[in-house]
Amino acid sequence: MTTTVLTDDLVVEILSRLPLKSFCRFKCVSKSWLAFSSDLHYRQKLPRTPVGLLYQKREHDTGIHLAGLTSSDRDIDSTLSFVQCYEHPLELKDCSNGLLLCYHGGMPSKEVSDAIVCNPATQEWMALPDTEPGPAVCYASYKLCFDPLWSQYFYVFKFESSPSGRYDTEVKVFFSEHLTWSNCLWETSDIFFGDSLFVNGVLYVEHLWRHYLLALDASDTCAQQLNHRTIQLPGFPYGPDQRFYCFDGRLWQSSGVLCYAQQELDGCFIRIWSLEGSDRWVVKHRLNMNNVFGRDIMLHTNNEGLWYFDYEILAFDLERELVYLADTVADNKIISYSISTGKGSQILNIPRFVDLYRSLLYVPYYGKFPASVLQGAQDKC
Amino acid sequence: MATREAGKKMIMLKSPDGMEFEVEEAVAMESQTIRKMIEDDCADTAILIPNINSKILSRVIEYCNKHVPTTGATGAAASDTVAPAALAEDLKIWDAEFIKVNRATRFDLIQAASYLNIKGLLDLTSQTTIDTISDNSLEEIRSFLSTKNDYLPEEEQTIRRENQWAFQ
Repeated sequence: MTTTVLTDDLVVEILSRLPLKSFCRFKCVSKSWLAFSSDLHYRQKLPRTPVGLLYQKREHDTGIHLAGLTSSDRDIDSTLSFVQCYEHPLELKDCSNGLLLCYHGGMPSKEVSDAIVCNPATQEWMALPDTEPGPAVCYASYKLCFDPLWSQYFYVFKFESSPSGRYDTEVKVFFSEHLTWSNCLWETSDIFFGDSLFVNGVLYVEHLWRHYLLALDASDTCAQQLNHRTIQLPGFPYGPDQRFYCFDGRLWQSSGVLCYAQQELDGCFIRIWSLEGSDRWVVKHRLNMNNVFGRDIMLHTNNEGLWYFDYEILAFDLERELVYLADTVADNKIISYSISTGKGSQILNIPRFVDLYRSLLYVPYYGKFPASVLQGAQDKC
Repeated sequence: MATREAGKKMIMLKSPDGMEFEVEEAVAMESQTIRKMIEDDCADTAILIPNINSKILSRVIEYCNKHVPTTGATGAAASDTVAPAALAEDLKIWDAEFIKVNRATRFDLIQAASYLNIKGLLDLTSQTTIDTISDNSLEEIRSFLSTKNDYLPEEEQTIRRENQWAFQ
């Protein structure tokens, strides 16, 4: 038999067709195959792997860190030192498919010109332009929306509430292809300031305490009005009405499908649902937490008589079959829990992690901004 | 091989071992590489296809003949009577038969598909290779793709630990 040896190009051509799990196994075949995933030319073709949790203290003057990195991904500059002429450290606000939204100054009422969008994997960044001066703002929340499978351009949704005391909120959208902010595209008197996720061109935002989601279509940002709908979440509402003192579940996506993870009422199990169709939630996993923290009671009351779980779901990743948990009682261990083995292992130990840090699951994206976007952003500076 | 039909432009393809293949232009243009040559007027007489021997080139032409979009007189008649879904199903079955070749031939076809830039054939050959080896052990994968394990033992341990989830 003649031994035909395929060139690297062709090996990558073959490897690019592997699902993520097999691809990670194939990385163990040889050093040169492992090197493909950090090669500038090849890595855009290969499956993208979440590399860890980005986290930052809520108070100012501390940098952004990345926990749980594997040895082959250590070239990512999470301190964002490549962002020039801005005061460091920047404050991490949102992360969407490898892009980060940060600003310096930290005050939520600050002008948006302080906001930047950057990509730590390619070390590119751009400042967002000012929004039109509107009514005096008492609170603004930004949601970064990027999905390379959907578009090479990104959106930033700005939820801006005026100080009328009624939470009247206006939604404006920045679209990186046009480099401009739209006028108000949608108004609400509801408080959608919770966890959010951008999947298949739809931004999902959790209500701050009610048990439902707002879905806004990014494809409508050229129109006068945003197409929107609300979706009831599965599981139980954990709001103050139910005397619960903890965050509601977490959103993530798996292969382009919206997923939601939440503790069951006693905290001993986590359920993960996926959204099938427009409003049907189907349970995909039910995970036993009894052996993970070395105890079997996970629901407690605080001194005000409010219930809380003594661990929190920080993030989850169904492709890698991992759930990231924070133990809020023992010593604030950050644990990555394997769905397939049911075992947890500690990846970080930072006292009072949940009180002090915001954390986001980070999946590097090695594609560059379209040249027109960078050029246009510089022209406007 | 193809007989000359009225109104159809023919292209001559030559393999490095001296064989000549006369094919319809539409069939040859399934290859983006050849399409570019034809569009740039570099295809007056015959196109020499380097690195692809006559055995492999004839298989590639066989693939292109089957996959060329069925327009024109005979094609229109075919698509009038057969539903598109049935045609696609028929192509799938044909592809599955076509790719039943040994490892060396398959690798030659991958190389040819890549050089000639025929996306469908590259997809077919690469995907079939993945399907063959994705459940194999690391050792079997190395041997199939002639790749050496160049990890030091401790390096291999680290990388395997980091990707342990993928082995479960």
